[in-house]
Parts: sequence; C-alpha cells; structure tokens
Amino acid sequence: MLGLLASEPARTLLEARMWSHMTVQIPAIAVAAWLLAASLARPIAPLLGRVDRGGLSTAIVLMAVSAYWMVPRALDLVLDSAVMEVGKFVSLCLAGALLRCSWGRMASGVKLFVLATLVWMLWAVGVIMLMAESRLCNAYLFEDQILTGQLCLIWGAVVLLLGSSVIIGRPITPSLAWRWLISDGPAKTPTEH
Amino acid sequence: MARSWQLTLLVAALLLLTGATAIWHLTLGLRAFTEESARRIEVREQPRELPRVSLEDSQGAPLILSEPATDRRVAIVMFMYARCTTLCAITTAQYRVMQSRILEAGLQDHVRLITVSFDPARDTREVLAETAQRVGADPESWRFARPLQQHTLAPLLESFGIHVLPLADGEFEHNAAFHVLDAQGRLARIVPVDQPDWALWEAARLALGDTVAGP
Repeated sequence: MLGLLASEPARTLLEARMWSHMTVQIPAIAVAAWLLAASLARPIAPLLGRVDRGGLSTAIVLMAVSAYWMVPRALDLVLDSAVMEVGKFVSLCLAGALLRCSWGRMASGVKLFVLATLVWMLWAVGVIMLMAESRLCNAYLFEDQILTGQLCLIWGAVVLLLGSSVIIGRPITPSLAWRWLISDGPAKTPTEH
Repeated sequence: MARSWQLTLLVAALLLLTGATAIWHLTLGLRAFTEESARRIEVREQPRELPRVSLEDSQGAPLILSEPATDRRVAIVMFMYARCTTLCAITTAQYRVMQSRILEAGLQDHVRLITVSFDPARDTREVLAETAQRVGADPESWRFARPLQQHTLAPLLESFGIHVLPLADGEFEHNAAFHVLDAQGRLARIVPVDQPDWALWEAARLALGDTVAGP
C-alpha cells in the first residue's frame, strides 16, 4: 500500500487536487505505515520504551507532523520540491508507525490530549478553508478548497468517534452516548453488573 | 523524578524543538501560513532577481523586466489574460485609477505600470493594443506586454510566484498581486490586489526614498 502511494502515477493523481492531497493521500500514508508497523511493535518495544515513556515522544511527533501538513503553504511547497515530498512520506510514516508501536504504552491522558488536538486542528483548518475569501493554496482551485474544508470537518468527526471508541475500548454507539448524557460519567453496561 | 523518565524527556524535548523549528521555518516565523503571504515577506526581505525574458509591448517595442529601466522608473507589474472578466477586470480597473493617481501626483517620471499577459497565444499584440485602448491606457505610463516566446513564460511566472491553472472552459484561475520592481529590475515588493494605494506608495518610496508620506 505504501509502495503504491509512493508510485509516480498515484502521487500525480492524488496531488492533482487539494482534497485528495490533504484528506486522502496524507492520512493514507500514515495509515499505511500504521499497518506496516504491526510486526515492528514488539521487537523495538524495549528500545522505544526507554525514550517514549507514557507515549510522550510519540505524542509530540504526532502533533508536530499533523500541524505541519495542515499549513496551506506546506501543500504548495511540496508540489515543487522533491526533498519536501520525501520529507512528507518520511514524517507521515514515522507518525503512523510510532502510533502503532507506542499505543499500548501511551498514558490515557496523553491519548486524550493527542486525540483532542488532532480533532480541533482538523476542525479549525476546515473552518478556515470554508471561511477564506481567497485561495489559501496557489496551486489549487477555490472550489477544491471548499471541498477540502468540508472533508476536514468530516475527518475531524470521524477521528473523534474512532479515537474515543478505541480509547474507551468499545464503539461509541448512539445509545451509549445517550446513556452518558443522562447519567454522570461512563455508564455501566449490563455486562459490568 | 525517576531516572527512567530522563531519557524520554530529553528525546521529547528534542522532538518538540525539531517540530517547532520545522513549522517556524515553513511559516517564516509564524508570519505566513499561505504561499501568497510568504512570497510577499520573502521579496520584501530579499529583493528577487528575475530571469531575462524578452517581452514585446502592444506597440511592438521590446521590454525586459529584469533589466534596469533606462529612465530609472520603478515598475508595478501585474499578470492577466485579456479575455478574463473577473479578477483581471478588477485589477485592470484598479490600474486605471492608479494611472490617474500617478498623473495627479506627478509621479509619471518615477513610476510606470506594466500589464503582462500569461496567455500570449491568444493575447496577440493586436489584442493587447485593443485592450490598452479600451481601458484608456496612457502609453507613456502604462504598457501592455506579452512574452515573445511561449517557453519563456513558465520561468517568468515561477520567478514572480504566479500560478496559472487552466480551467476546462478555456479560462484560467490564477493568483494576482501588484508586483513592484525597483529601478534595477528586481522584484522588491508584492502588494495584495485590494491595496492599490499601498502599491503606489511602495513604488513611490522605492523611487524617491523613505520620505514619501504614507497613503
């Protein structure tokens, strides 16, 4: 999957539009690295554990990488620079792989912090794109930017639901959310009685 | 603090520094989040040399933007295509106002306007001459020009930071700004298209020095 994403035709295709560049290619690279890192997690755990206690280092990489690739200028520059293109793949692979390898070690407070940061950044970027009166990227069309903004908002919601489901260890269903709203804190499920 | 945390904190601090440096670099010190504002900041801090590209104006006279003007005039350059009815029409209307401002202020010996077409295939010399006449351009202070050779267009646009995206209906989507060239033919200021007075002021300051009063 990573090889496919890195291939010339796939890059040309996905980078031709802002929406596919930002909301398909960039997350897909990280997800591909996340999938690949499955077998890596155990062997490097002893080493990684020493420099990444509580998932702190991973959290910083995740936030820095996601913040960097949400700056509109980064999307413009990466189109004209092979060095930045390599940097994009490397940084996103690092973020995806680290997430896989250190998730089990990550403190729940750190998990929540990373999740909240990623969600508000996606929503902020989405709103900025929808509110901008001119183009934020010189290489992409205005209508493309609107679509990208909408997709960023949707991504924010998806990441919020997926991430919080993973953190609490069960899918967030409407009935579960409802129970939370009318009772205080996480509800007891019938199996816990 | 437990010794086991020391290595993690050190690595985390280094990663934070690396990430912050990268973002600082990308945004020119948290000043530019878009390429459009980045190029404004970059040329202001370091005037940019332009490639030597031969243009011809609507009267057939040669024009090379990168060469020092023989009359030492500062130039305000904008890019457009003649059929455009949206952004270019607005900037062209602003150029008309700026032309009269230049004449009113007696700046015609110091500041000139240049409109360059990025669609030389359709914007022939005749088309440009007709456009110049239609908008009432004074040939002494406002010239319309086109690249003589199509292949010189891309490096010229790239040096200015202009991106032209062809649309399906034969129109173009493009970024626009007032590009102020100093008397040596370097790109010295970029001013947003909604700030014509600012562009004139920057041009006047480049021509006459920092004593020019603000707009």
